[in-house]
Amino acid sequence: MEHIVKTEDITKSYRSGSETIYALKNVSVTIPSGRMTVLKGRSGSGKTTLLNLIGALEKPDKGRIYLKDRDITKISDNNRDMLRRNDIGYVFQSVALMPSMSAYENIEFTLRISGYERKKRADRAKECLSLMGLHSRMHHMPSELSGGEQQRVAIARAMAHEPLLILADEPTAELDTHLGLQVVRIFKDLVESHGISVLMTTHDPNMAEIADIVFNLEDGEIVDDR
Amino acid sequence: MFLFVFRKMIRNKWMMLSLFLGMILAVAMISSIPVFTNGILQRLLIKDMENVQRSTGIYPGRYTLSVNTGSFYSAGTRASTFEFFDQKITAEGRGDIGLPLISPSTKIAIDHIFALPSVQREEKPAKRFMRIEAARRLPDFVNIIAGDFFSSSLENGIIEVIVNERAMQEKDLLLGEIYDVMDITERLDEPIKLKIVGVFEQKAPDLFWSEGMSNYNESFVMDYDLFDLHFIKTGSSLISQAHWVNSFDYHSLTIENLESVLQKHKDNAQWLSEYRSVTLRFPSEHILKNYQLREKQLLTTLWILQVPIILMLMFYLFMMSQLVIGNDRNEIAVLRSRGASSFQIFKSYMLQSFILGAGALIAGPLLGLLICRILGASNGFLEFVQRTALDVSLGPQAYQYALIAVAVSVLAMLIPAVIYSKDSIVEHKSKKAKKKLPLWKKSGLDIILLLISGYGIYSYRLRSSIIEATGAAGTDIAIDPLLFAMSTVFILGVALLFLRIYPVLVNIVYKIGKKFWPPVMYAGFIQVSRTSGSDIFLMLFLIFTLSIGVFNANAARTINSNTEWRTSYPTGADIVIRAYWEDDSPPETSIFDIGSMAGMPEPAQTGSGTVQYREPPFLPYTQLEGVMSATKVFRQYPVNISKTTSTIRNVSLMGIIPHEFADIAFFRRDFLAHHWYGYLNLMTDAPTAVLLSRSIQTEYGIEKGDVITMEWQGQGNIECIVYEFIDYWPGYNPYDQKQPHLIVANLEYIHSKTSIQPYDVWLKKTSEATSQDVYDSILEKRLNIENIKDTSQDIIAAKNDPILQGLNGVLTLGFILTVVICMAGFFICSLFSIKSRQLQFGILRATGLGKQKVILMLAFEQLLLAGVAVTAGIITGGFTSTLFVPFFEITMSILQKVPPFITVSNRVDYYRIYGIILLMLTGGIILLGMIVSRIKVSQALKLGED
Repeated sequence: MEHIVKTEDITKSYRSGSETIYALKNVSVTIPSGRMTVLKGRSGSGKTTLLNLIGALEKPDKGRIYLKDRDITKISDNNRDMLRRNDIGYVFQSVALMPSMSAYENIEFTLRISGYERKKRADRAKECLSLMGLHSRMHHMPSELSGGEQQRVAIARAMAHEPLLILADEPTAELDTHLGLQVVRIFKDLVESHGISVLMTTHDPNMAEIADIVFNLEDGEIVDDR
Repeated sequence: MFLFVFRKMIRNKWMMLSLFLGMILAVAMISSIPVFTNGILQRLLIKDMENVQRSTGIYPGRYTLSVNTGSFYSAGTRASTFEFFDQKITAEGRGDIGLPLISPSTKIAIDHIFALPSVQREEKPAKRFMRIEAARRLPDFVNIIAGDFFSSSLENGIIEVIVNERAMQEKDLLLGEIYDVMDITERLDEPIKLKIVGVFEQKAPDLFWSEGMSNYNESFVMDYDLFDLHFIKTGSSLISQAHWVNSFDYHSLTIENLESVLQKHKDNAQWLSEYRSVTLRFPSEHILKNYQLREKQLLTTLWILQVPIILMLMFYLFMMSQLVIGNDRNEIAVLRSRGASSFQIFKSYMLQSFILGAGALIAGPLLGLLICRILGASNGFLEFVQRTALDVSLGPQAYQYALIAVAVSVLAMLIPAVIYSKDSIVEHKSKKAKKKLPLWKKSGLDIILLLISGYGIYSYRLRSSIIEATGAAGTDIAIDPLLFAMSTVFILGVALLFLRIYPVLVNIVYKIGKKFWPPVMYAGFIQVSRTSGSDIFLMLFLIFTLSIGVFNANAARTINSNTEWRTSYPTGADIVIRAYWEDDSPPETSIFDIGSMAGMPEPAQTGSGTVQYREPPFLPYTQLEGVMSATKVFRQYPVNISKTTSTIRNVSLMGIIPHEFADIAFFRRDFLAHHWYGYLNLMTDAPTAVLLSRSIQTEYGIEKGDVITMEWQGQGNIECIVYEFIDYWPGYNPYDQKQPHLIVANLEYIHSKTSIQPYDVWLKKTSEATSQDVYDSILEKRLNIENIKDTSQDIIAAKNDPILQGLNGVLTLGFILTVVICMAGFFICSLFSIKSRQLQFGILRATGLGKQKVILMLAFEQLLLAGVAVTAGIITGGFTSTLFVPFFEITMSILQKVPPFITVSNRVDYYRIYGIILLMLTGGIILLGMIVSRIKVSQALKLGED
């Protein structure tokens, strides 16, 4: 199967005082394209670090990361920004919308950043919001939306610019189980109907059930994969 | 509780420090008001007293009680009356006003007596009407120039006395002669026998002589103890007068003890009024009473001037406190939901404010003292001079004021606490959702403020037109402090109105180019058009402070400049000297002349004809140290001008040498219709040309080109041609009732037609020369000078006016504070706003917005907020100045209308403001860049996760 991301022996460590803490130790994973992949693990297991490395927010100490077939380990900061702008969509755990912009504007703004074609911006934003079932609420401010609704706006924003890969860091953590499942299902739908690749982290085994592929992380190492 | 608050304060130490800074400044400012008022009035008080002494020769601390026992008290009680008063005054403090005494004296006299030599030496003996006097401690203050001191006991039944020289001469007395003294009503059974044993004179100048030596011109002075023994203890009915002259050391008079001094004086007067024939004289009383009024005036002026500054500080405190508490909001909400009552939370903030307040109460007044030193040294706007430090000290009054300041500051800090401490976590979250119209917008505060100031402008316009028409005015204060209050109201109104309109404007701009804005601008526009709360407040703060700064600068410049012009214009040049001119008139006339020379010189006219003057050398004046150039200016009044048959009398003539005059005389562009060099060139080209004051044109219908002749006592018909008319001319006051007309002519032409007459020498100093340099040089060159007028000295005197000095001090201080507070407020606010938005930046970075773009976005946002606020502030300040500064004419014109009032603004002040703002904004953006660069995206994102 074609991969979207491949990592080779990546190691990442942080210094905490005089100690060196290894967040990731020689992790090699292959994440297939057009699937929903879950990184599962307890807090501190290194799943967010792995996600950030794949999203080009951080650089590994050693090892290589390939996005499709492009080695993104050694590229410049500008290219990283560009990569995130064009090929990756992010969904964060917390309320991560611009507070002064409406749902619609949040998406429009991201489209602007990624340089999405001007004429299609408005339609694309509306389309994405509709897809998330938020058509009627698109001119509301984030503070006027519920937690679930906010997260759906965030997903709409992450997919709006048609990235290769959506990275979602614990997107269900602040939601109750019911809403959490709903969000995960939305991801699943996106994968199935639009062929988008999704990589999501979670500590909740229930959420992992829905995924196509699950990697288990423990103390910075892949312990078993399905 | 205390520990909890204390720990929290330590954790927020930078915020606490900035709050503390605001508080200390507020306390310092407010407590400096009474300290400065007292200090400056104190200096003035002593100076005024010294001036009284210099000009009248009367010692201003003199305090005299007199009893006329001779007239209202029956013969038997006179001696005991004296003893009664003497006891009360010298022992029981009835002559005391609570200041240290210098050389007090008691003088007692027997009056209405005459003396005849015991051994007749005149054909027809002349009665010598004299007094017998004794004064305590007199021997300490006199020298005997002939003979000896009196004895303190009777010598063969004869009283020994001494007299002064004047008495010796005028009363025809002889040293060693014995006199028989009888009272004029002849109640004495036998004459008192006196012998003159010595002649005395005043030893050294001493306050003992504060009433002067002339009081002894008709006195036989005897020993005080002997007088007591011989007349008082015997109950003599002759005692007619007694004086207690107390000279108080007025240098120990202070504004603080003024009240008690006046009260003691009042008590004394009250006590004395119960007795007849007693008088109390205290010549300085009216000066002192005047001070209480002046103190009130100065206090009000300083208060009103400081109101905007204090308001600014309160804004600042409110803003900082809002930041601190806003920062704690989550914590408050958590505490609330864990069961802490809103009162408990409020209490913790109150405790925090009290801790800060206590610190400010200790440190603030000390800083206030320093501020007073600065105020005392201010010589103009943002100008300082080396002057003997203002004698200031912290009294209880300063602490009273400081306490008020602390109370108000605590209040300003607690308002946000009251608002927020009510929030529980639920309310906090839901409140975030709701958008409420702020109170000021709902109530239309901006419109109300503008209406109030509009009424103010209207009434000032009205007043200024009334004054223009009638020349009458209501107040006697040179600067109307209400104008400052009114302009503050106006500025607040404009600032609020601007903040109502501005987001709408931004929104319009945003909508116009909605499709095209790059992401950076898109985000900026949205952020600013929807801004509220602290951002709006920061804008208000910036607009307000800068407007006040600009307005204050313009007001100060205008007031100072006009004060200087009004002081310098009547003189006309830096220094005007009248040399001593020798003439051939009789000496008496000459002496008389010197006295009246101060103003317009009058020729020494004698019955026989014109006086011949010998011209003193002019050259030395041009060579004086520190003098750049010198010219001759001849002034003559009255002069008659005739045109054919009609004659205009009482014209002032000024003869000048145009090309020299041009460099030396003070002149301003607005005095004349054209550049004044044009007028002077006309005169240089045509020797017979004259300039006439406008009043002659309007009153007598003389026109350009008319040939007129001028003539004054003994100097005959000089023919001239009218070239131009002038409204103002150095030294010429068109509103002068006595000398409203002026003619300016070529001095060389006048000299060619008349004999030489005394002229003035006008000097221009080099820019670095002091007056002292010139004076020293005059002494060194032994120039014989009759009169000198030094503009710089007059300006110094004018600037020493306490209100003007206070005004300059407060405005300077306000300006400096504006800058400090503005920068502190801006930095702290932007720092906080950036820190609170770290998560946002993380998200933006994660979505692929480059670092530079994020910085650019923030910079653009700052430009739209701070940049626009600053611009609006400067424009508002300028606009406020053009509206309100001209009104200063109303109060200033009362004193003097000439030269015309001008509004002045100094570019340098604006450059200073621009420089500071540039520094502020670039500093802010650098700071922004630093913070944004340091943000680790992954960490910033985690911030959102708790």
